[in-house]
Amino acid sequence: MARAAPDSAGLGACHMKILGFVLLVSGWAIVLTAIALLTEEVPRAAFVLAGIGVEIVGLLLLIRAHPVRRGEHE
Amino acid sequence: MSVDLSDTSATFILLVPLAGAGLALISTGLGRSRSAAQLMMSSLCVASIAALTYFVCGFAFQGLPDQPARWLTIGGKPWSWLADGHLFLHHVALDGSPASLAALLGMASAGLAALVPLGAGADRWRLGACSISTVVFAGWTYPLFAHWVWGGGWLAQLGSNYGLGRGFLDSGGASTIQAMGGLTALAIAWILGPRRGKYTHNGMPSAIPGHNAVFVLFGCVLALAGWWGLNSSGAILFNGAQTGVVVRVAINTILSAASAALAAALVTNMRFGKPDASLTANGWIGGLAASSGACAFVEPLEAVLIGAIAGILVTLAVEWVEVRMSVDDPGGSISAHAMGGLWGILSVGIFASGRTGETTAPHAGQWLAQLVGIATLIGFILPLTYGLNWLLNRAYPQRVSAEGERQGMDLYDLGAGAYPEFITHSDEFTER
Repeated sequence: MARAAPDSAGLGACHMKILGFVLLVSGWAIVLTAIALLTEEVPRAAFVLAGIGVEIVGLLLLIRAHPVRRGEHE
Repeated sequence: MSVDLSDTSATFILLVPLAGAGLALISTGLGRSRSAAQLMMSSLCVASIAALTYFVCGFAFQGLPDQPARWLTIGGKPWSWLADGHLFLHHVALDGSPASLAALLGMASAGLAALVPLGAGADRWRLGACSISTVVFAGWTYPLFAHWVWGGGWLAQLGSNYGLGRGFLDSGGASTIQAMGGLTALAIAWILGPRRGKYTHNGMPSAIPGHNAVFVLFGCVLALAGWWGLNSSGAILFNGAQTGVVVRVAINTILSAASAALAAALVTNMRFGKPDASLTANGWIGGLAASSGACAFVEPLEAVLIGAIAGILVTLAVEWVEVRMSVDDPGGSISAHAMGGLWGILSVGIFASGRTGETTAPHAGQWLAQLVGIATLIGFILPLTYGLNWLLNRAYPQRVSAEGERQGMDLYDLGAGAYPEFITHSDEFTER
């Protein structure tokens, strides 16, 4: 039996989810890089906070990606 | 009179399973009556599988400081990322040595952390699926992060390598147990989707009240005893605390839980006109989860403040998770454990700087070390646990079928209900 192609909303949510996870990992990478490469306290702290900011954006994208599935199990 | 530290830790570790019993009762009480037996059965299976998996390979991956480990060199600094121990606890002298006590605590802790997602997956997570998920969690995800924090891994080395305080600190498992369990609960709730009838067609959540408030509130009392064991043994084994600190830890733990519960009761009373039992219970657990971070380092008044903030955060988070995030979390696991745990980690950096050791010398950068830990949990552990459970879901669907959910998990998974004299109502499945 042929599988139905995903609709555009489902595809958009899937892309948003992937982007969200990429941002989560990228934010973590920024934090690790700041710790490993920077020695001054202020720039290091600024980059750590920036990395966490990127993670929060990723988390918000993931949150937006999941409500699309809200009615899936209704 | 001298007190043997190993005897003291062993005594406290033996209390930890009470925390698991408490969480199991809370999750069961907040779920539907037709899934009660399945949820208690799942709790028993998850705790058993976690103990066995941790015995097979978990402790080998977690290890202890000063034991063999795998290293990466980054910028000339050694980063320990995984312990290189022996499987099946080989070469661990089971005689009260620190390694044997850490293994015992690890078995109980891995089981406790694995119990947290059950609350989020209540009424729809199949017994087989949560068992397989626990194998992955207790055999890989938990030991990996526990090595970074308690096994002398790179997070613990942030102090010696980069001058960030004493490195990432977690006295009783706010990160390794609570935040890990809570973030795994979020991943599971996302993968499973909401229960049928939870959200209307226009996206508004419907209330599906828990079936037994007595279970929930008695679970809170049991959890306190378990947390006393968890926080005390963690402080002794992983933070070098002396036995005298146990009194401070116990006082801080109960103060944090008490202020969190009262804060939650006050907030719900202000918002809804009456205090809400389930949200107060979630606040209590959130206060316990938050206490695990800094209980060995802070003064009692600070523990009250940490708990009160945790109670408010958890209460607001429960509503935010349900309404804004559209995540169905019947047991409040995400809010209580993830939010409480993350706040507990941060509270070490805010309140405990300068008191995180035997000396009172200030530890500059402790807050930054704690932030790196939080970033690791959200930026690495959440994608890892989501990805692993997503793969499992592809191979073995985690959610029960529509018919199974209608029958109830008890009949579907076990063939018999917890309350055979009850009648199943179908009004939750009608169109809203």
